Amino acid sequence: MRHAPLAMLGAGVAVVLIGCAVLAFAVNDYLGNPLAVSSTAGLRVFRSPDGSLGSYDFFRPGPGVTLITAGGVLMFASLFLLAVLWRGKAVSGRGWRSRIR
Amino acid sequence: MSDSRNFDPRFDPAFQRGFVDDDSRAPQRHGGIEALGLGGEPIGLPPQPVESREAAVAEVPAHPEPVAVSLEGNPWVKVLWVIAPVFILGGLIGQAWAQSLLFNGSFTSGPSAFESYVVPSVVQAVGPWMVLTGLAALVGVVFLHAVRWRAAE
Repeated sequence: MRHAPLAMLGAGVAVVLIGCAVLAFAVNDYLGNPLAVSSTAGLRVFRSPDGSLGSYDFFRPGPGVTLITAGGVLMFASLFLLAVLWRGKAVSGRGWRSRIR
Repeated sequence: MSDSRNFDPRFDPAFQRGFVDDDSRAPQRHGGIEALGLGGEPIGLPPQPVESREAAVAEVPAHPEPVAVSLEGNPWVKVLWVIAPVFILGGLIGQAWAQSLLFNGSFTSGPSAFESYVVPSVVQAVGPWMVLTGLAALVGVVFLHAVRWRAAE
């Protein structure tokens, strides 16, 4: 009964990790291709570690962020299902006190 | 097969004395409600006449009431209680921080392009989903507590 939510949780973690990898690739590509410095572009100018100046347009999160959010929602849904389906061990008692803990 | 002896035709026989409906003898299942711990045990057959009082006592189950499931010790509920405020506050604070970094009106060079553009953009994209997921976790865990709440004896 709990295999499906656990598989869902694993899928959510996998999707988040894939999203992080895609995002890291996109960020690396973004930072590796600075724009030419222009006094009329209205963009900030940054100094790279090697001392050269470069400018960047606004970063647009691509499919990486979408994958991360989708994986997060999937993880939340699986956590809720696991909480609903969770069963502990029975304890002694009578009436409503004889709950499963 | 329904019993139709001397029933007042103006009213449903099911609510009149002496009505016996054989269909109701079949066990009824409440499949979905069992998962919520509302005591959705299948309703068994109606009690049959027994030969003696001792035999009747012997047939009584140890726990006649449906067993409710407490949320005490449920690790997943604790996880939901943790991620709900963390996601809500993290999303809100992240949104405000990203807005202040992106739109502070300054075009002087910041610490780096990564801190000035990349991090705020990612936080701004993930923030609303974090808030939404945190709210959903909060509503869900409160719903679970409400469904499984039992009044004190």
